Amino acid sequence: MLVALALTLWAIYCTYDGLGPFLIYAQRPLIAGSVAGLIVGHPLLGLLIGATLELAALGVYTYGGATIPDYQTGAIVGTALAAGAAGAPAAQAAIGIGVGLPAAILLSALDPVGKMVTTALVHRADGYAADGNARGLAMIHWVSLVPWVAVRAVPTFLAALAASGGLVKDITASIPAGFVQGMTLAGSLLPAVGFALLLGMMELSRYWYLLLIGFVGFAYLHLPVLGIALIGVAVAMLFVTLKRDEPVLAVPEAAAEAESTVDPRLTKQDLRRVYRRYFWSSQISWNYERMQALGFAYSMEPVLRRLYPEKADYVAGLQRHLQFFNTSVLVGGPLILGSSVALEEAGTPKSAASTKVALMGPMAGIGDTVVFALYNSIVFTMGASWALQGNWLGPAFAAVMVLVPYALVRRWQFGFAYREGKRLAGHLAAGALARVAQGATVLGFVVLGGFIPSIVKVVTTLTYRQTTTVQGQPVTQSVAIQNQLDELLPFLLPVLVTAGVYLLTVKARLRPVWVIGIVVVAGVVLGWLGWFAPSAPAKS
Amino acid sequence: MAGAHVRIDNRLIHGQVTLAWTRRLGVRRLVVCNDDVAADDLQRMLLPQAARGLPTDVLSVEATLAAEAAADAMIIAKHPEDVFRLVEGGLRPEVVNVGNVAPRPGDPYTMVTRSVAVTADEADAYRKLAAAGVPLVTQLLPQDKPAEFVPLLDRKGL
Repeated sequence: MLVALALTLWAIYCTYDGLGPFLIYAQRPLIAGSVAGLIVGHPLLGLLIGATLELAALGVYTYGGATIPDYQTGAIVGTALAAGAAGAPAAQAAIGIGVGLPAAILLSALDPVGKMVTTALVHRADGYAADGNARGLAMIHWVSLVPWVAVRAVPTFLAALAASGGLVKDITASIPAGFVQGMTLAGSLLPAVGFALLLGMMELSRYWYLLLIGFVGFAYLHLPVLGIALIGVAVAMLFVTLKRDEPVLAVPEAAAEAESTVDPRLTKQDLRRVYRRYFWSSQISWNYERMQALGFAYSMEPVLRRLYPEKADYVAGLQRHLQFFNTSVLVGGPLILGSSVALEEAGTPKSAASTKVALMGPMAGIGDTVVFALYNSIVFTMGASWALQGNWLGPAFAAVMVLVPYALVRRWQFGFAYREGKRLAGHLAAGALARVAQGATVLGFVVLGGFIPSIVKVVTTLTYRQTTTVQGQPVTQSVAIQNQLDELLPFLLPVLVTAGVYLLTVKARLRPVWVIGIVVVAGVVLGWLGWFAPSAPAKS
Repeated sequence: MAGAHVRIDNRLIHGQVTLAWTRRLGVRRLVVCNDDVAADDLQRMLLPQAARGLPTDVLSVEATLAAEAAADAMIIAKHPEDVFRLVEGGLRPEVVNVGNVAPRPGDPYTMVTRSVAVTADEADAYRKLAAAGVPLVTQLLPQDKPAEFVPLLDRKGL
């Protein structure tokens, strides 16, 4: 019971972290699962299950309100059930993955429910804004967190409660060993799904050759992933500095010459409050109709109160910022917030609103790409690859690489956009954003080339008998097919599996859920038959 | 000009477009179509940067119609009326996808799907579009099933 409550509290924090502060990206399965493992007293299980689900979900993020499988709950519930299962840790982990994956997919059905409740709430917020009632507005904003949390915390609690009974042990004790063997293989194939989804988001036809750098680095030179990442950084810098194919656009004169002639009316305290509100709660009231609008209005409220002593102006300000808004909250959102504050202070509310609308789309495009497809994918793949070896450095590394850089980048965006005010447009026009996106793409390809052979693990255990004549005597020996494949190309099977999954998702256009199903079934069957395994059996 | 895929999306080029649609459709060019956006320097400069290397034009409705035919282009219109004007002007898209249409202040609206708000006037115009033989669907992401749009209007009593 105590464990179930602790897991529920953890699920609540994970959900909040992914809507507000993004301190450690706790809704990612690697983090959610690892801490769940600590709570249930089986840290290794949490690492293995969290890392496997993480790799299956690479690049799967919710952009623009699309519903994705609930991997957070899948990782927590899978870990809780695995801890109660019978057998050795490897068998328990296989069961945890077998439960966590379908749970994640099924529970995605609840996600729209939470978002629909918040949609109803935002209309109440409209009423409070019309009255100039800031407390009411704030109340609705924070209450909106409840439905978001409930649809994740309640299933977590129920599953954790069920896991604490002896029933799980009884059921799992009767699971055949062959199934566990198959599920283990399926788990080691699942990262191929994540890599394929990621490749589907990237310009493969333009940059495919960069995959070779990472592949050679790992398969032939045996470099660790960090070493490959460093090569990737160097190659990315080369691309960005040497290959400026984006034409530098002319900066509009009005934007370039606009000088900041505003006498500052906002105090440092006001700015801090705006930033703090956005940092801790930007998306907690996300809903289908206005998306992040209420979070933005709530963040702007201290500035509006300072700038507009007349109630009618203050109300108009709240309503202005309650209009539809959505962008990438880590890269983009703080920049837009800073620019809105500056333009409101400059006495140009119309331009604050129109700049906001102009920036939110492009910044979402750039921000989502850099954050989801590139930076997070690299950091979390490295973390997951260490976690799969049972190393705690994995989730710790991912958490720190999220905590520090994103905090700095967000603070900088807000300050920069506020200071530059009207000149911001000129800076953005210079093409720096496109170069950042290109550099990150190049890095992503190099690193992926090394990740695929190092993380997708599959070998064949098939052998054939071959009769040769040795010194006039016919000798029959068994030959391992894997050894012959290795002579042809190291890591041929992982490459083929990833390519196959890529074709299924991108060319045959199967939905990711179906692809995951196919990979799991294929893994279980081939592993059960004993034809393939995650790694070669120890030589006896 | 003829466009393969016309999408109505208030946020123009964002994550759903750059991470999902452009690769899935295999388009080689993006056209952002809206008079106000085309007249705004900031957006004209920012949108191509968000397109991740795809050549991107930001054009008014008139300029979109005047541009040469490109079957491999995806047209992203900001508002429904941009599409209505494109079709009036002679554009015959293979499909019109009503993606993201956020409510705008002013006229009363109905949420037809989670991401699409429709006013009474717009509902009439959508019906005219469908009656003229333009396939009209709503599909947020490529992995979602495309849904016929007019029956959705019927269901909401628009």
